[in-house]
Amino acid sequence: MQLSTRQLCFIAGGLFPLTKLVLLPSVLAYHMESDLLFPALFLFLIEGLVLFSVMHLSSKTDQTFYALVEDRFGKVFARILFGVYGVYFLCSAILPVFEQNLLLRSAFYDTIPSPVIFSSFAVLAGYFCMKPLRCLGRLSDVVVPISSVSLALLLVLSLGTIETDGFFPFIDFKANRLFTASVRALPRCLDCAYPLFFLGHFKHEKGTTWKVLLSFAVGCIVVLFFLFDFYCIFSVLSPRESSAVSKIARYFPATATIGRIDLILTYLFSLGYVLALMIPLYLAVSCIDVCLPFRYTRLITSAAITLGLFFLYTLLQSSLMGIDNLIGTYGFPVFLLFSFVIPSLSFFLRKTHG
Amino acid sequence: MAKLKQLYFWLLFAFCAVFFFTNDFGIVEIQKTAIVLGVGIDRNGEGFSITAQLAVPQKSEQKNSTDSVEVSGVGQTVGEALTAINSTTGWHPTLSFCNLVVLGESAVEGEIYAGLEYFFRNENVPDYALVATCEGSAKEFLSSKTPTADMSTFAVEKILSSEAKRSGVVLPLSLREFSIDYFTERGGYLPIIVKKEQEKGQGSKQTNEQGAQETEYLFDATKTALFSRGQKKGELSPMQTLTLGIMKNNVRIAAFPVTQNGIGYTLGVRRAKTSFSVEQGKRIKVKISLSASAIMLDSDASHTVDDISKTELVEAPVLTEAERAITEQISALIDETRRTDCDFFGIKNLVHKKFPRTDTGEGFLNEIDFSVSVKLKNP
Amino acid sequence: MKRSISENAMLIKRRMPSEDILSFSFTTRNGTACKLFYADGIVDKEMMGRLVITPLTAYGGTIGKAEIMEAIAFPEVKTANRMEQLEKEIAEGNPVLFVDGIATGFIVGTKKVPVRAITEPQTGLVTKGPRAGFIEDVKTNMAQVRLRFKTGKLRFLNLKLGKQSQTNVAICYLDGIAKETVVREIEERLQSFEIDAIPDSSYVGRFLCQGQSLFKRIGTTEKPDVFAARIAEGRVGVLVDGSPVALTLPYLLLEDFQSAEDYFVNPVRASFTRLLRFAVATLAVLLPALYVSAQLFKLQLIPLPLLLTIASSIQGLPLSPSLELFLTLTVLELLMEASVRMPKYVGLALSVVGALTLGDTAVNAGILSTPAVILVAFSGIALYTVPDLVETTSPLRLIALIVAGSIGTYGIVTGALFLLVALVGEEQYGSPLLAPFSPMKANDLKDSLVRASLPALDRRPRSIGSKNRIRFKETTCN
Repeated sequence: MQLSTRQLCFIAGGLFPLTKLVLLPSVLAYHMESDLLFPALFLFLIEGLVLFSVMHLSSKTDQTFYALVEDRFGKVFARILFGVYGVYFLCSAILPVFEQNLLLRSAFYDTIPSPVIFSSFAVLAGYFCMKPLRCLGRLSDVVVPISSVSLALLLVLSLGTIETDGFFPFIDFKANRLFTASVRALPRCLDCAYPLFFLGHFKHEKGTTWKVLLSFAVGCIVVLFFLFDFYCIFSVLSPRESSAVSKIARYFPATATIGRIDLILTYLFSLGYVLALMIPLYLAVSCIDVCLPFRYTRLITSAAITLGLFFLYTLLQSSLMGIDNLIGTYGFPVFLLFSFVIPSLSFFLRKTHG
Repeated sequence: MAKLKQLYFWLLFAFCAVFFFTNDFGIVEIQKTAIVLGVGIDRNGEGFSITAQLAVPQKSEQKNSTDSVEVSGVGQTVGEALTAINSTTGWHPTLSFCNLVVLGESAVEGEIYAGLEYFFRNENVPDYALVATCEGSAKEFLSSKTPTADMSTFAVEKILSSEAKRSGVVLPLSLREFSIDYFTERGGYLPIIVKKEQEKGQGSKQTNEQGAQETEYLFDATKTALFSRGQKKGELSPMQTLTLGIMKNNVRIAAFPVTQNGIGYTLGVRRAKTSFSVEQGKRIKVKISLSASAIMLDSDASHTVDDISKTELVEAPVLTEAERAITEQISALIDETRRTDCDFFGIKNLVHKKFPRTDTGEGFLNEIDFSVSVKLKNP
Repeated sequence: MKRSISENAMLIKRRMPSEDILSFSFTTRNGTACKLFYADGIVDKEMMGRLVITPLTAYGGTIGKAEIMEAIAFPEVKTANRMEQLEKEIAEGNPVLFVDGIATGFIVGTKKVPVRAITEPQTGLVTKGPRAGFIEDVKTNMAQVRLRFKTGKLRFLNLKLGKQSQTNVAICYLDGIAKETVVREIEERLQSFEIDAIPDSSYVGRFLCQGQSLFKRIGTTEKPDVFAARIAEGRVGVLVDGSPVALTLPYLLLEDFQSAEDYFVNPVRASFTRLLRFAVATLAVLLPALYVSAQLFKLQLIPLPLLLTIASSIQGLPLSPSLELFLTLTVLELLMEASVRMPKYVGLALSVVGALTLGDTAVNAGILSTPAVILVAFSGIALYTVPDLVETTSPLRLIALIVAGSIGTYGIVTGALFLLVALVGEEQYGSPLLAPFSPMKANDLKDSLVRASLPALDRRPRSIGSKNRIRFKETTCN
């Protein structure tokens, strides 16, 4: 087996939340102001349900998702589905990957960096995508504790700055604002589909489902607390504060004396963040590899991703908001289908005979 | 496959090495960078005049020292004016260490945020930078020499430090805090920095390069300017500033002067807790309650050794007089907040939370009945 | 072999014409000719005379194989009929006796190889604990290991590797604790390659690990106590004749952050020093890179007062920060290499020149800045807190510098992840290189970067995959 229960828990609880800490807080604050916790909670609940469905499926079968689809619908359909999922994962990864730009400009560079620096991510992603799945699990063993501790320290450093005056909500928001906010936040909440592609690569033991769900819940609670913390610090300025995670701890008084230690913590956090960004790319390569099982498919797809990402970034790096609008507006039904509906319905793929 | 991997790694290394040795990423090296420590904003007709105080490290034989230089630029907007500095000096100004933004008198005459917006937009400007206004022009202010620090920016950082904030005498505010107040239409306030010429005989005067003696100034920030909807509407006196500081800033110990029976006392006010309660009847009633403990710091009459040894204890009449004095100051603050519509107490937010349907627009503060209760006790 | 002593002598001389192969002729009491062939310098001539020549010259009985063996009465006497084997034995230092009329060579084990005394190795200095070290003689090394395991479960598998050198290699393990598959695999790998000579154990190590990597894949030690401790944990050891460096497999990267002394001091101290080693080694690799990337890309990393000091120091320097540090690190590597190689009598003078040139003169001349010199000096010293990893961390430091100088702080993060991606996939003999961190083995973490107290370490590490996991049991005292 390539993944263990512990590694799954680390991925669900330690990696999935990280991509939600950069642009998502300001997007939610823009639409919901002090009620930004509600759309987040709503999305997390739906994600949790989908995750439960997938984990429950894993308790009933030890086959991979591909094998289940192939059994039910045939090889051709299974390959087509995986090919489509490959393309889907690639497209769904674009926005979070480009969001990195915000974190880079805020925490890593004083001036607007040259597009060439993105080549390091592209190369890393291409290299990572060639590795077997157990590499992801083992990486999470090392990286998740580091990024979790860093995030915890960032939150602790930010506690002295929070002012809850502007925060505590009274329930006076309109349902359509909640819907709009959820739709715009959706491109960052697609993680629940990933475990579907881990099926068959981990051994479902007693309690695995609940452990994974509990880890996911803990991750969601941390994100919700982060959103609370973020809004208490920035209040009405929140919509402007993209790259939230790199900004919350910079008001810690000791930074004036010893320097920006919060930046070091942000860099450590970024280890997990970058890994989390690479998961959909990895799954895209894996799906395409299954769809086109030739000798060098993985290598070629990884290389194509490396080059493609780099060129896309060079062309579109200044258009993040445009991409966000486009994907946020038109991507909703696609995300819903591939990340929520299909994984939920996959439960029915399990064989019911004894 | 192994050879392919090897080739891959060598290409990668060569790629990095080329960029390392050509160093051609549009990077600005530190030697060509001007570190901006403070910025002054003045209005210049329709546009702005920006004065940047730059730290220019100098290598001397004895030790490495840091000199400062003030460079000005003019432009239609603040951003344009800052770019003009780059073109005239050849240095690339970095605002990452800009810890002070000073608005001259001309800059606060109109819409105040027109001058500050650039700093708020710019990701590289730390939004924990202090914001203040000054008397006269910001350019002259930044160019002033002071005996308390090498540069005026450092001197201002000292008088607006967190330590000073905890003493209650000043109301320092960061760019983030001021922006929050501005955008929530709470109105905002900024400390007013006043230059006081140093009296003769107090330390030596500095000599400039031409040999002429330069006047040195001490800075005072005990007055506070009040803003509402981007316009300056009033000022708080030092006593009012102190009172507001005690109410808002979780003071460690604030020296509050009281006169009782012709004797002047200085009480140390500590552990002040301010609470606001809102009730709605025919009109909205807001009760401001301040409770604190007070210790005797000094008085202008002589006392016995026994009395002095009881430093912590303040006599009841003195406490009562102090309560009266603080109540008077709070009432003055209430008058100011009504007059200027600058909601520095945050009343509108409180009312909005409790009674969301209430319209808290312009002039709302005049429709509120305030009552004040001050309780001081011995520790 | 022939019965005639002169024919046998001629055969041997033809096979071994070298002038250090000597012979000594003598006769028994009844006139039977005997001849001893030996390699000069690696034979104990006194023992040869006492145990072989003296008894045989006094012997007057029948001449036969068994009789000669009895007459010599020395435990290490073997016989052989093939000239190739006799040639090997002579080359190894064991004299060969020919007796006229007997078509058998008698191999007498009176080898006396010049070896140095057992001293404390330079790479494993301790203030507390055993100070013995391995030497070049494999038999002495085996003896040192045997002294630490007075049990029949300690096994040695002897192999001869190297077509020309015929180097003795001993695979050492504890039966019932080490994984047999690992032992078999090591033996197969060793026997699968052909090489002319094995001058050092690193050659053997190279063949035991597949693929190339900047990181070590095989554990090394010069200390018998460390070797024994690793064997006891379930590893397999390899001793190579002619090398004082013993090898242990499987290897975990964590091993190099641990020292033998950690087990002789109290756990708190041990944990502190291990964490310190790890932190300092990481700093040594990353600090120059961070310094450069802070100057070029993110000034806010440096507190303002320090930044102003640095800015003052680098005023007027001809080199960019990245080039300055790159050159300084290169010169440091040069100095370190030279200090190891140079003769002792010029060492002091050249050290002073190196220190003055780099330290004082270069700074005064405005070629280098003081912060860069301080940083490089710190990095150079810090790297040696983990001396076994210097061959890895030193190039890593340069790579990190190049990445940071070209891409910046983001390059350090992605570079670190790149390295992690490469390392988590490394596995030799069933043990991942980054164990017990990746994959995480909770019980093994008790003896990782922290050290729990001895009673808590009652299980062998799961990462090694040993058969018998229980190290000790606590018995109750009545």
